[in-house]
Amino acid sequence: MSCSRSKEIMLYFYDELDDEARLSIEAHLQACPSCRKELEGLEEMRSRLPAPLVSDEILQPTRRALLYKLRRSQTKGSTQIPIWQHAGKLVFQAGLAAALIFFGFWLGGKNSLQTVPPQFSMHDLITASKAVVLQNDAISPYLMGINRITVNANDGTVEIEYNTVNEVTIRGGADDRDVTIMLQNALQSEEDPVLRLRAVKAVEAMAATADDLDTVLVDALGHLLQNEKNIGIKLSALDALQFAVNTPQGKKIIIQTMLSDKNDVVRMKAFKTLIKSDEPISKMSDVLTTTRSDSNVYIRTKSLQLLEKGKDSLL
Amino acid sequence: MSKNNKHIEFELVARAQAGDGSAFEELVKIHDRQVLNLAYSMLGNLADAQDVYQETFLRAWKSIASFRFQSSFKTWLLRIAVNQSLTARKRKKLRSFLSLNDTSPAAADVIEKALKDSSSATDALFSTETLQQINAAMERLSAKERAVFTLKHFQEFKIRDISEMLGYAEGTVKNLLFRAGRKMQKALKSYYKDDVHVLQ
Repeated sequence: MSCSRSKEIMLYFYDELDDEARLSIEAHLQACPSCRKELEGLEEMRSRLPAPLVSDEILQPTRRALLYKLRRSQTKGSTQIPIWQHAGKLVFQAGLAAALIFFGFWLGGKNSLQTVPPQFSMHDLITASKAVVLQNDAISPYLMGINRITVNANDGTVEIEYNTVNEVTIRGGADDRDVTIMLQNALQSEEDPVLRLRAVKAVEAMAATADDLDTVLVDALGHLLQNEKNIGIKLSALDALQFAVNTPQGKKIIIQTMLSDKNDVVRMKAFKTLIKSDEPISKMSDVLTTTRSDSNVYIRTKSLQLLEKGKDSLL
Repeated sequence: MSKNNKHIEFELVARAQAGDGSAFEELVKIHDRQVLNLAYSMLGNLADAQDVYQETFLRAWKSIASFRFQSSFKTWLLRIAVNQSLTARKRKKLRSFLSLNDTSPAAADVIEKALKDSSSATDALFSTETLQQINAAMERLSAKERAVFTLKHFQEFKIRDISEMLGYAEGTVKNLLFRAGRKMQKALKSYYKDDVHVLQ
């Protein structure tokens, strides 16, 4: 016949009792042979039933197989067929040709020539990720929707592939104005968070290769940090901004985020990014005095530490 | 988990929710050992555990946007793993039930054989015999008992966490654990008796 406290023995065995209950059951165990037997039974069970653990030799290939599947599931649905491009140079022949035809129809439908841009340049197309308004008519957005942005880690070349019927892809380097403008547009895409994330990631990869960040993109990232709701995208934007932390503009955005963002993790990330800058602590004391009273304990403590002991204290 | 690690995890989850696959891969690397061990304890078979492992992470990736930070990410992930393991068991049982050529011996025979074959079960931390033994004993548990027992006995979670993970009241978890423990001991004891008999 088991004792009425046998359930407590099990909780004792699994270390689930608070101090008081544990002391009580230990005293009871001295006096109750049935409970002692119960405990012995549990201990014996533990020795006979060790946890089955997988070794690294099993885990590693299992993990590799999973990661392969995950990557495949991520790229599914976005086939990349870059066409009409010459080595490293932007070529918009497809887009341009189609746009000119479109223009032809548009012009044909008019009785008189209205304000056709004197020179129809490539830029009119590139910036047309929002509707281009020509006087009273609007050309529907031509290069709407980016399907995929890829960055070549070796040379920092960016490739932007559009959801157009003719599968337009543009390609260019960090100093390529057109690529910069396209990325700026993508960063400001109001509709699609995935597109914004892709653009942020592309900007980061590009900046990492060039170890520099175009001012247009720094501004676009600043704009994004102020308006973005998704924390993951904000964090990635700060990753990209670390390459501009030594520029006045980049620093200003990071400080602004650090002082005003509502999310603790975002503010912490901004703080960590800022203190990586080359600026001496003496010049950052105003900011650090403010962050010393941040609601987040990490930021508070580190600010104080920096003010008192300097940057070496964080190493 | 330290405060800093929590922040790192929060960041990774937030990024993964925004569609960042590399952040999700980091989460996989942090938690996958525990997921595989859990599935292995629940199913007692490596191939099935590997299926459950994969299914768990693929599901988590698909539905990570629905994670609301109300529990820890680990709790959320292991809940998926437990459910997947239970489903896998059900499927397997159904398959063996439907199979006319099923020659697998009854659980009681398996445990008896496994225990007798295992000359020193205490030091065989991970021998086939030990696994068979665990497996056979676990056969006697209901699905709920098995889940609770695995999470407590093998994975060493606190009852509070198990309650959150499985959505049962703490009292229910305690009762299930108590019943499971009794059944497991009984399964093992029937062997010891025979063993003593043989030795005499």
